Amino acid sequence: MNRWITAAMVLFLAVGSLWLENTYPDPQVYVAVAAHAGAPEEPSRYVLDNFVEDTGAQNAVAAIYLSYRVYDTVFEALLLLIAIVGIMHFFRVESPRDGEKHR
Amino acid sequence: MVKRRVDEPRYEGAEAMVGSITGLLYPFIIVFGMYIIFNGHDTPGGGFQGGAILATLFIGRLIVNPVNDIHPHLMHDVEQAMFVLILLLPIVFLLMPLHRAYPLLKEPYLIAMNILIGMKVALGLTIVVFRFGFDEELL
Repeated sequence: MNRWITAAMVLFLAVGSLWLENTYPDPQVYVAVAAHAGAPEEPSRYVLDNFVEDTGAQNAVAAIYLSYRVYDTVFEALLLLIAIVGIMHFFRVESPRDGEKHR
Repeated sequence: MVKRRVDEPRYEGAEAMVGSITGLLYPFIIVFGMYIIFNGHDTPGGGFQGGAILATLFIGRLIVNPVNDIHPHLMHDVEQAMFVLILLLPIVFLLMPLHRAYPLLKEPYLIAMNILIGMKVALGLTIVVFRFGFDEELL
């Protein structure tokens, strides 16, 4: 069952990434990055000028980590989850409620 | 490790003071963490920070009353469900550009993501601290 859920999620992610070209940042961010490779303040200037109408947030940090670079957040959550999977697996604690060693 | 019943914690001496003061702090910790999470899109803060503050609720309770009475596997399952939602919500809202069709949903999206991240981080940090503490019999 878990296998099918995983497969469905991967398929959904693949289908969802087909819409990648429609997400923000708008293409002018990439144009700015390409044209001003030596001037890294250009994309940050775009974010600071446009994050309120782009994302609806008042906090630029939240706008970046929840909208512009949401894949960072997703993979950070995945990182934390994998770390906790490892901790759950390698630290087997005898719980008084369960009585038995955990799986 | 001294095993105690959960429903009747027995505090003696200085432990009673620590237990009482920590018990007094619980609602403030909850309110502060929820405030950080719910205002993460408007003020400094966010899901991770608020989740860490909510995790200090369980960690403070662990320090006062070291009983391994959480359900780590249930919390782990809930955390996995949170991760699935964290994965699906940006895909649905950002990649399939609902944020262009429904601009009014931008702020609820940010709040929902912060709540999910906060719950995930709070559960995860709680599991980590309880596992480390009771594996080494530190408490």
